Amino acid sequence: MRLPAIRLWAALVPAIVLCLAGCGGGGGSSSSQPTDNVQAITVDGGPANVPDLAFVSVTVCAPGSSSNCQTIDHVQLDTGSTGLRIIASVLSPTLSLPQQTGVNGDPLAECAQFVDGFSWGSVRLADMHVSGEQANSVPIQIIGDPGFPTIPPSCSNSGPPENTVLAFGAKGLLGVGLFLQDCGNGCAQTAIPGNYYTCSSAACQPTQVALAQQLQNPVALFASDNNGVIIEMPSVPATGSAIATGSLIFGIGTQSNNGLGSATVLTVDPNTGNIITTYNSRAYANSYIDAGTSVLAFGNNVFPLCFGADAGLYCPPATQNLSATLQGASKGASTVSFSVANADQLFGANPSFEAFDDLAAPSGDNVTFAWGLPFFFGRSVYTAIEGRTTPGGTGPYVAF
Amino acid sequence: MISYNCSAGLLVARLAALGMLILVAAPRAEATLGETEASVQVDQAQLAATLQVTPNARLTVHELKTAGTTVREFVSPAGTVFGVAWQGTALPDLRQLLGAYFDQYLAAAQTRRTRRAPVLIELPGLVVHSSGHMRAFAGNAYLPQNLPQGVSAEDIQ
Repeated sequence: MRLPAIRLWAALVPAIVLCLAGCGGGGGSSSSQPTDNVQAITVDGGPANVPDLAFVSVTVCAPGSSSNCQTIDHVQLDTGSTGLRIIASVLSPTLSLPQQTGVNGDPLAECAQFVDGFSWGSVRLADMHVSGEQANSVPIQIIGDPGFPTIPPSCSNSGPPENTVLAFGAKGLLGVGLFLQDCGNGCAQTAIPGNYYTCSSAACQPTQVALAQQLQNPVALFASDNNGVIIEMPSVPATGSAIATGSLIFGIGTQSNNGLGSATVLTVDPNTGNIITTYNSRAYANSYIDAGTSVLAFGNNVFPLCFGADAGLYCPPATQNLSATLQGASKGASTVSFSVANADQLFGANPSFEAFDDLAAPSGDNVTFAWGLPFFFGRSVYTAIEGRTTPGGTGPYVAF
Repeated sequence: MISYNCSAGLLVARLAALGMLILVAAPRAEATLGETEASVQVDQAQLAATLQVTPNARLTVHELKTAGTTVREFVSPAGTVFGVAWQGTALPDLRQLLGAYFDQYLAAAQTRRTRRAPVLIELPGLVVHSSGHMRAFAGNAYLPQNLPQGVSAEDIQ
């Protein structure tokens, strides 16, 4: 049994650091000095004490300002989504971010759908700094924005609400995945319920949104190092670790510290970002490598399930040492070893541990195989953005 | 089981046609999981979907297509919706599709320790699974006690 309260200090102590001058050293484009492209990653449970979430700090500023800024810690790092999202309650009241408007001039809001819930809030513009990189006037989502209290049913009816730090498990989300926008052409062409909305004084209605007004992959907007990211995490023991720290490196083959090396490139389906995993002679066609998923998730009843607090995770009688082959949608393949431990035993042995490379769960079907954060420990995992040139070819692809 | 109220269903359909559904709060004739085959048409109106029906001996599949998602509702020979499945770039209106079972799903999903992971809820009378990621979601929900003979959970997709 774990005690979430023990970790609440993490939400309170380092919470808000106002950046009074020279945020993140941004703006410099001199060719003599390479841009600092490394941001620290921490896996420490975060504000809601959730294992295997990777966190980074991000600085947001009012567009064009170098003084009206705020650095936000415990923003979850995600390669399965696109765009920066911040929970409204962590933002300083003095940080005013301009509201984006939709096609009809009304304020633009968004329903961000995740596999286990939805987040509702406004779309606003901000400058964003992370390590020495900077993206200007980026559309971001302010989740739980008090100015938009009424959630349209087509949004709230998609699953559990995740509109507070505790429900979200983080103070925000940094989506630096395979795509340039979160929704893409679908939302540019059609008003799809459960995505973007324009909000009049009466109600919010689904709306179409041009690509440039959608939430953007901030990496693609950097002046350099803008073709993808690398996530480097250390190995952790099979019993887990209280904390793990790694690096989020911007750019692929753009500086001396981000070469592709001997990594194998796996192309992904350009529409879904999926690859194919073959495990135990079964091909899982909806497979994906995603730092924002907190477990390895595959199959339905491959192993016994845990009960009680750990329901929804796998609890095999003993740790299973397994292998699988990951195959690109059109090219590339690599065979990996992985382990599935008994989640009850992992948590029971070390109640304060938060980083595990062997935490697994059913995906609930026989086509989905999600390689979540446990896969990232002991590896460098590359995520190349769609349409961007890299030494490993044009994105979108993943490599490791 | 809730009986299907035809006049209320027509009202909902008409209001949907008029774009006035926001005004209908409580008294929706919820369609769907555990209800009659006729409830599919309420879903079709609510989701603004096209409908294709494929009958066979063991079950009838009603396929609803919207801008973001394809929904399949599985109807038993006895005329009950025993399963729904979805796939697409957006999640569908699960309250509409799960009807009376939606709140059970919410409650169970929110007590999990894990976050940011596929969902598999297995309750005595309800199974719900949700997997995928932004731009590619899939999932299903079914009533295990109502599966017609010869139909397995794997058929509901």
